[in-house]
Amino acid sequence: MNSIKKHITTPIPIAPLVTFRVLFGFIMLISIIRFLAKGWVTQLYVEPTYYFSFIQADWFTPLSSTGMHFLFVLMGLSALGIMLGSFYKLSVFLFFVSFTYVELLDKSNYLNHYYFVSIISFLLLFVPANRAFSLDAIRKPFIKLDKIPAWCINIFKLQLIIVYFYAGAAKLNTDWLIHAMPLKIWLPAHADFPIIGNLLTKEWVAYAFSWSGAAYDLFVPFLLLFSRTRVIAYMAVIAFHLLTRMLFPIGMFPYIMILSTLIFFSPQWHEGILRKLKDLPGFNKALKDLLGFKNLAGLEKTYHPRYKNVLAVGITLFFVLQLLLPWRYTLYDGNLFWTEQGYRFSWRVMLMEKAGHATFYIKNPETNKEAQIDIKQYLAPHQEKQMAFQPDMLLQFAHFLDKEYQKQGIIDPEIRVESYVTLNGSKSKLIIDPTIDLSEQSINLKPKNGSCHLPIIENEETIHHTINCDAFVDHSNGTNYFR
Amino acid sequence: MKQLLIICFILSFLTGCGDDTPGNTDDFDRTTLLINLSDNLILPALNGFKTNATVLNNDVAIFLNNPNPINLETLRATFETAYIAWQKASIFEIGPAENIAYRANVNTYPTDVSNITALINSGSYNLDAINNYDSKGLPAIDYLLFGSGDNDTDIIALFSTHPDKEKYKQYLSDIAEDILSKTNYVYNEWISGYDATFKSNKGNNIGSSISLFTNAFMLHYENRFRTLKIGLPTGVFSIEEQSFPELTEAYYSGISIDLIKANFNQLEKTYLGDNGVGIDDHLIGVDAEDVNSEITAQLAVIKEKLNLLTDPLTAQVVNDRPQVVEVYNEIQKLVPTLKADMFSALSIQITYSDTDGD
Repeated sequence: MNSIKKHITTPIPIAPLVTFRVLFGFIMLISIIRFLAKGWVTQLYVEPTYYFSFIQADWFTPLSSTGMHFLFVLMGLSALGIMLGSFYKLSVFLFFVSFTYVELLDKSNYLNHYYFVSIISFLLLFVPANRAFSLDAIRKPFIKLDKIPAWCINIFKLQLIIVYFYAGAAKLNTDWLIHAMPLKIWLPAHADFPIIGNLLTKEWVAYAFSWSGAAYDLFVPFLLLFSRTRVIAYMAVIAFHLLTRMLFPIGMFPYIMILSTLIFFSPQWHEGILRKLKDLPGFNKALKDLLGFKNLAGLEKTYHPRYKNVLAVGITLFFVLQLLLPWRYTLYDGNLFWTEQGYRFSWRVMLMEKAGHATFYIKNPETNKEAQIDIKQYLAPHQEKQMAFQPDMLLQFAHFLDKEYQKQGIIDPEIRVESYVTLNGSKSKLIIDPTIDLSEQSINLKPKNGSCHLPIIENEETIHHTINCDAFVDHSNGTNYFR
Repeated sequence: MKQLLIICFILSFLTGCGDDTPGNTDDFDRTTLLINLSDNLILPALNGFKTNATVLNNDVAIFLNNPNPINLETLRATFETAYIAWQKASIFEIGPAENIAYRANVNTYPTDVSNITALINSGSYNLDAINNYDSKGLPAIDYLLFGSGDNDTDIIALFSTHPDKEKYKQYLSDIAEDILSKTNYVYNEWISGYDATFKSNKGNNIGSSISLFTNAFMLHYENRFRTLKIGLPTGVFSIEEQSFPELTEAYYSGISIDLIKANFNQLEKTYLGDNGVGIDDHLIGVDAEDVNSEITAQLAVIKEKLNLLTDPLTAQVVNDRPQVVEVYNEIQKLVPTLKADMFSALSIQITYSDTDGD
């Protein structure tokens, strides 16, 4: 009990939280500038005419082009606010809300690292990360703290442990470990890689990468916890994330993780870094004092949050939810990689090579005439690509088409999809029974098989003689995934 | 130690932020694939069309100097040859071709007859304006040489006796010249620099040659070949199952089927790498023989099915729609194999955009 208490209430120096805040704000600012510079705001949130929203409500759509750009600028400014510790609470709040809103707009753009950013900014709402080394503290020196309760830092460590450990656990499946998939597909394509390019084509290297990748994810957060293994573990963090950055198009994620994991270092280490920053030329003595940790007014030494009990319960619930959410897939039947029911928000990162192509058909039952749908008329290429292999998106789009054609005067359109999907190099197969009218299948979180919601095809036979609701076919052909 | 870490940290940014640059190791002949594609497929196709476009310009000049039935016949024949040569060059919309929207400049159809007439009457126009793309290029010449009058006499009259004959002459001459200048630009850019870029950028990331090439190949197969040449005229997207013959390529000259076949043959030839290293070899190189054999088998089926098309396609899509739909369906069947299996096996992102992955 005492040891648990130690991790929650013991006053510890604020420095690690402060560097975490500065670096998080910094990397978010860079990410947002990059996002804007690449024209992705327009491409992802202005140009498409349809969005695979996480929130099924008519009002939940992107703003106008100006609105979206304004929102990203606001997001960037709030990231800057977080970095500088300026109007901190407002900045974190605006950042969390705007970032999360954007992420919920379109499933096509879902990335685990965006989910991670949302969570971190959410947690930042509850900690006094601006109470030292910040503009807020310069403005209002009396808010300065030199110590904070340990939980303010440990929640971030816990969150990082969850991310890594679950990412590692997700790799414990036969495809990853026994077949070295999908790395066996991905690595040889990098034969031109500097120095080790040749090695990447070797099968044993794919196995080595698979196993060491799983081991890395499972163990690195714990090795970071202990001072004796910390430095070597952090070297591994840098090496691992930079290697993945060079091999795969994963954007800012590696940098975010490299910076975030610094929070595992000791308070003394962080104080050293901040002291060095303070000693940079240009800071005069008065400013240095203001930036320092010592509370000049001596009004408050440690942090005493208001509504302590509510906060304690809230944060506990949050982490319980975090721990449980990745297991929700067990509530669904079928192969998780194939059906993807319960796949998102679970730290399943770069786990499979999956691709597909979907062709939708619309039939007017009154005339019995049928047409193929010109998907490009509605979806941007990145949306079409993501939808093709994700059953819930296929269903969502079918419902959209149903409404579209009703508007055009067809009373009860029948919408079918023929979507061929390849998973980890298997020959592409139909993922949804192409004879089923998807407009009749309701959208909800219930298991999508055996209950007449989404007839995902689970084995070759069912496709021919069932049009009933059990037609959820698993084509994995004997591949047993670790459940 | 702390200092070392900080250095690592800074270094990690400096080294990691840039994109990885390709090194010098052997790789399933991706280099030989790129060399073969550029030397034996792309450049000959561009050069071939360049030659044809030059001849086309000459024959346009001869016809305009002396508009008579013989010169019209010669010009029409030249035009048809050029249109077929175009089918070989059009599938490589990358690099300089992509930069200037080469395909859209040369072959946007259906051509906008009323806009063509308006431009001719106005006598002043900017052919580089995007909203004039559908009023120039091969489809506009197709209209002027084959559809601008009820018969050959009427057509010749436009260029010889019509009150606006000078304007007609100028327009035909201008659009033929436009095709040639765009082609010269693409060809020259390719040989003067892009060729080397193309051959050396041998990674598989977004922006690498193989990624650009296969994506362009896919985009062409799915959109330009499947949808535009066959799908739209047949009305496969029409819930009324209605055909749209006016959307057919080469609507006025009626050589659509020759064009379709030429385009398909070029797609197939490119996939197979002509007599050298092709995408097929690349697939075999990554142990995806099954994907390759499925693609080659389906290519053979499509080739066979294309024989079901009968001239003129404009009539067939109306009178014998189910037969064309049958052809379309076989073409369609290859799309998932290419788009899912082939891209997956080659570990190339289907991407007309470059957003982050996970």
